[in-house]
Amino acid sequence: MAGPGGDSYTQDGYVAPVRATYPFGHTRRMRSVAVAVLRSIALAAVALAATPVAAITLVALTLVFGLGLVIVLPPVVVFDRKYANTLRSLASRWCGVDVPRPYRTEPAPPVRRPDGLYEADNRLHRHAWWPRMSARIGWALGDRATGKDLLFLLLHPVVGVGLAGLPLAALGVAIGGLVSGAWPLVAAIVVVPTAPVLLKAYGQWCRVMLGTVSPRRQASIDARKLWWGTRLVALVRLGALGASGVLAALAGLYNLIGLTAGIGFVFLFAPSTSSLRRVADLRRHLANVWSGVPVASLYTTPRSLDLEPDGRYRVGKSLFKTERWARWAERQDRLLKDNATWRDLGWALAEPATGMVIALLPIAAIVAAVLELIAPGVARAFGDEDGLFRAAPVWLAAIGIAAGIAAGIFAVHLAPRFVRWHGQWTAVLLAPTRGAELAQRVEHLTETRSDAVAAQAAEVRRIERDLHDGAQARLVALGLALGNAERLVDTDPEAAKRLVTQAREASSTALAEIRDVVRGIHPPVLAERGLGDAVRALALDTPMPVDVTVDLPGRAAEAVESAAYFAVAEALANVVKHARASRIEVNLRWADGVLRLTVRDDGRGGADPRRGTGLAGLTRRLGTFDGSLTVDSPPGGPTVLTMELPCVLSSPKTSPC
Amino acid sequence: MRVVLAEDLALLRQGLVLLLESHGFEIAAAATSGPELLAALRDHRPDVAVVDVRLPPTCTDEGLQAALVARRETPGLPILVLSQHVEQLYARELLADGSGGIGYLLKDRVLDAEQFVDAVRRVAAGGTAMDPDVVAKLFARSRAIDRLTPRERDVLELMAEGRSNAAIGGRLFLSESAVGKHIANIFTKLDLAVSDDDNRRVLAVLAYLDSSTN
Repeated sequence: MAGPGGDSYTQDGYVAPVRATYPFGHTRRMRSVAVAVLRSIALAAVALAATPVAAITLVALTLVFGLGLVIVLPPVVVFDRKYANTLRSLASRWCGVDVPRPYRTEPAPPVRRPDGLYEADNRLHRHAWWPRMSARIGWALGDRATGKDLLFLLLHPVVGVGLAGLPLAALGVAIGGLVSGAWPLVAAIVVVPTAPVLLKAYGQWCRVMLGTVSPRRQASIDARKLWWGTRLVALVRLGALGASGVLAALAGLYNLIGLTAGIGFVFLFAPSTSSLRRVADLRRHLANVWSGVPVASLYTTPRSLDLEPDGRYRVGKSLFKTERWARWAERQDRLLKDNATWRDLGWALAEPATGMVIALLPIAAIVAAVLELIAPGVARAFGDEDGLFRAAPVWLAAIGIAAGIAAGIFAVHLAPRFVRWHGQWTAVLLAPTRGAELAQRVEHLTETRSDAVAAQAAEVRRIERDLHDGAQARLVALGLALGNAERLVDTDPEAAKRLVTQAREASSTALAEIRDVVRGIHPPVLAERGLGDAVRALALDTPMPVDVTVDLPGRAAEAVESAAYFAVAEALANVVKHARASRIEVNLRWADGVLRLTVRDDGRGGADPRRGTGLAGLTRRLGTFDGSLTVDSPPGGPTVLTMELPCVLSSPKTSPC
Repeated sequence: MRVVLAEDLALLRQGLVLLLESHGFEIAAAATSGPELLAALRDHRPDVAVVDVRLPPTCTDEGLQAALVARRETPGLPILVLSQHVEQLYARELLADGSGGIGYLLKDRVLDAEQFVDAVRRVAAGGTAMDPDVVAKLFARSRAIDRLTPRERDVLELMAEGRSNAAIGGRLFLSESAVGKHIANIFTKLDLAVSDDDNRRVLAVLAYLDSSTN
């Protein structure tokens, strides 16, 4: 193609008269510069107008978020958009930059229901006004462009005026400069012809701020926001953790005084230990929720007091007359012997040199980078002869600034990791020792075992009584009747026949009684079919509709199945007795090594495991298998009982009988 | 009448053989395990089978499973299931195919020889013999029976056990026509279609009671 100032030949030899357009081109360029300057002046004025618009918007937002006057929000957003749309069309017409509108379409008007009402936010309204307003508020607040418009309104008076006002300023300087020298004139000659370029830049600026954002770009913006957001959160957390270190150190010192300062302060020991434990528990909690390092809180629990035959209480080798003093001594003794007391104290006293250092290091690095490298460096660049770089050359100050920025970003980058390290350090001393965990486990096992043994003994006693008073007695009667019948069969066949009939009835009753006993020991259907069908059979025997859903991929150990069965049976019996329900749902499922049984009813609710003996019994029954019971029963219902039993499942039983 | 018997306890097996033979039954086979029972049912095609729920080798519900398999293979094959305990769950499974010739009784019922033999004959003839315990449990759960008079309840209970009008009348000291009148009333009150077929009538009543829980 032909370029300006060069002939070119087309294939048929025609010489294009390019040179002839030159003078014409000059005029056109000058005209376009002049137009650009005029447009710049107008656009600068438009940019200045953003200030009152922004002011109105800010006042409106104060009303919205300060006073809750939400109804002013949609009109002010529409007002902002009108201004933004004006700029969009100007950018397109004068700057040659198309700025697409990013707004969501306006919400459709509320639909009138058949009953003449309108629905909004799960409420019905007689008039369409509020539903319409509510939809418009959601529309205005839910659009990213709303916030971006506001940011644009705040920045545009500076950026827009800067870009569009430059040619005008240069002209002004040039006009003023005619008096004071030639340089401003030269500046004007250089700046003014760039007016079209600046105009283009103005349009681009509008496009960046007011245009649409591609999903990919939006994703990268969101990712960046997330990155900075997590770092900011981490830094705030580190600050709080550092502050908590001061609290820990103070609690530690208080505890130390209670421990060491002689007889006068012996009463301070227990309360100061409690205080320190509260601080330590707070830090365990923070380590868990902020650092993602679970740290369990485990202290020895109060022991029951031993009562001597003479009515005094014994704690260790000391005897006390009153329970209050015995309790006090027990607490003192327990706290002193608890390993965790000493670990807590060690943690608290070491905290200023350890945890606080970890927490405050990134913050200190950022502060130091700003105060010691960046600020003095910048000051040196402007000729300040004070601070770190007072005698240094400028390049050294530049290196200092760069190093400061690098150190700051590094610290920001690592902040989340420091939060994690802090949690890990907390775990070192505040996590329970293996010994303490085992001790607690032993305590739990001792307790549940004694419960289980007691329950077992009571069960056996009940079975013995049932058999003794029931079936056994009937069998004796049956034997007697048969003996008498044998004796009478020759002499009085009629009487013998009556006795045999009696014997048959006795055996029938005995069977029924034994059946009941067997059902109480281990229901036959459980042995024959497993837990799922046994619970289904149970549901069929319940005088109320029970929906049973079962998701068990195998069979649990017999003892576990039995515990689960009786737990469900007890729960169902409770519902029938107390809940005044009309429906029950039972769900059995096994996942991740836990058998989960839920019994849900639509009754009156208000079940409390601490009050009813039935629920307490259930908890005990499940405790033997490390199981648990949770009750969710708000007054008015529904009640949901969730029982969990850790167990493994095997393939259905095939062992011979 | 040829009977296949399945009972693993030797003493009880002997007793049942004795009882049935003395009432004119012919024992075609006396099985002692689930597989043996299934084979006997296939080989002998008896007029009726008397089966214990719990049988070797697993001692779970082998007998019941074998009975269900055999009835799938031979629909309507009359089987009387005996058990130390009765479960509505099992009763449902036995009645599920909707054909007659099924019985489900507690082992205790053997003690009353006449009643037991009557039940075996009823099942062999394609009728039903439900244990009074099962029927009582159905009654306990059903809301329908509130609409019936005590007498109608008595009639319905015996009918659900599978007894004929004559037997019901004999039990309750009523004439057969009075029983028929009661049954007609019950069917009207429960909105059930009246059927002349005794057996279908019983199955309908059982299904109705099972579904109408309160």
